[in-house]
Amino acid sequence: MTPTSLLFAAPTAHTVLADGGTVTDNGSYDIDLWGMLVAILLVLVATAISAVAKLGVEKSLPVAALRAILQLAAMGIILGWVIQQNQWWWVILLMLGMLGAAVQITLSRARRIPKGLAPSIFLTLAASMITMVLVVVELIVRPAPWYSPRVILPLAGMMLGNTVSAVALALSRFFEDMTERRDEVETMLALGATPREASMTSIRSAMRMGLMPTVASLASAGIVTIPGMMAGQILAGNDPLIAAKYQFVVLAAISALTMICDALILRLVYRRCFTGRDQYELKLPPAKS
Amino acid sequence: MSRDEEPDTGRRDEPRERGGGTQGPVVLTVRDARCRLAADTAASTGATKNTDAAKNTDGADGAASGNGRLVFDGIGLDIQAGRIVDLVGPSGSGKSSLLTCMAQLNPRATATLTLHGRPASDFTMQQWRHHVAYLPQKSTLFGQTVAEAIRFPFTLGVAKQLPSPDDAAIRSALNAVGLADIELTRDPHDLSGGQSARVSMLRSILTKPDVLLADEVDAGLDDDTARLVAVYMARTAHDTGMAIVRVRHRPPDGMADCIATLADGRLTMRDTSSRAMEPTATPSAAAGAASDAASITTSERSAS
Repeated sequence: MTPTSLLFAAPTAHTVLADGGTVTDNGSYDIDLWGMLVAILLVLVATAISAVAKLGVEKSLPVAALRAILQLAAMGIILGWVIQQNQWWWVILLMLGMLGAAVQITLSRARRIPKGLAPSIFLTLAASMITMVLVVVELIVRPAPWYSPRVILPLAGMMLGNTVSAVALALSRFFEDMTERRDEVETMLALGATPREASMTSIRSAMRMGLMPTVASLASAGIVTIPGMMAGQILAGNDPLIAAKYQFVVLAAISALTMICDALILRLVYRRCFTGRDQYELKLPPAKS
Repeated sequence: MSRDEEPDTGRRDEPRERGGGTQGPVVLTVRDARCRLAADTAASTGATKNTDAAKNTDGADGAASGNGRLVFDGIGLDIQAGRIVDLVGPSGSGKSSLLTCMAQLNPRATATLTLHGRPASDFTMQQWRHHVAYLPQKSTLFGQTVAEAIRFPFTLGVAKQLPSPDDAAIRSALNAVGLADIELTRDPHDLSGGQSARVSMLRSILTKPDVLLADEVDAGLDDDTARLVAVYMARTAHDTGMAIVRVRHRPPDGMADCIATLADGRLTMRDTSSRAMEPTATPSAAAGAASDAASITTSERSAS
């Protein structure tokens, strides 16, 4: 039996259990309307606590929860549809859409970066996505057909989620550091350093910063946390050992890809701190308080 | 090339009075230097319409022309080997901008530059800055020890092939500028402002540039130490033929062969090599005398 078939058996028939829970064919429990209502109630409880304690999130919390429900439902419907169509072009199209959204999110998350970085970010994320598909999907999981949306799309989503935060962190850190190191950079240039030599300290610092969450998640996986993907698979009724293998593959891929992404994005953007004549000139939008 | 059409300002004039100063060949020529005011940050992308940019041989993008106020415009000067030029003028007159312009470090400034008769376009930016070394007013040292800090330039690609100064050379240079009590292994972070300013100066001088552009090296020094630094610079200029441009706010110390005054966007030069000392002249008096003597805007020597 291939891991794919084990993991992603089609949810067709439902069996209603004696105690009222709903179980699908492969042993996972569906969440019925009652379950959804309880979850919404939990959000309302949190909102009420926020209102009583005057935390100031009583407006944003329900709005965010509503957005989450709609976005997740939309993703579920779209994914279900693409999986049903099982056509490679739909897979590619959806991945392009995810990429576009990821660029947008990266730009909004990174603090104080120069304008016009979207093409570089797109290139970086696209490269990491292609690498991910080639290595993780085609070399490790090897689904049939090669474009199997059930395998590619969830993996791509997880990968993007991680690379987006790594790239946003690295970019913020890099430009912040280059601003702080202004005297240092100008002195190095005066001594005959190339822009690359003058930026190296900041590039290193930014890469370290971008990788920190990944290293932390690698180290704590399995002890402190059961990572989302593994938890999901176990909940979905799969063998926990298979889930663990998948989780490790994903963590390994994420650590490599965030490193590649950070190196690539910094390589693409470090020159933005310099003019065409190798002079230091960094134009950042004014700080938002 | 437009450079040749301009009047050759004074470089072939026989110095009428030959004093103690060394008269070397022209190392660096600056023509048509202009610098935009730093204030405008937004309006820099659309400033390329001015065709003057085409004249610049150093690949300038014309950002310094076009809109915006100018700190100076059309300045020119010649720097001769082995001579010390003092650049004086009121604060805000653009003295530092002129120095960074010559080192091609100033994004708001452009100029037509030659080094040993070769246009700036013959050099990479890194080579140019290795030969025309700008020494910033604020000293920033790299590395764990003073020796490392001084050898830092030799870790860069542009000077990797060159022999870095050995411990003895660094030691004697430190001794010469009143840093005899600083061990080579001292952490640069532990140095005082005046000490690190001198270490930073030695770092630049020991790379043996053709031109040293020293931006207020002696600003934070007491009179005796400033004197040591001035003597060390003068000896370096005399012994190695290094040309030195100093921006100073102190009274003249008699070391300069020439005083250049930058005020209201004009540069006036006055040869002082015949006189050993000018005890009475303050910087402002010198500036006044210079502008009286030369009323033509650019690169006129009052002597000619």
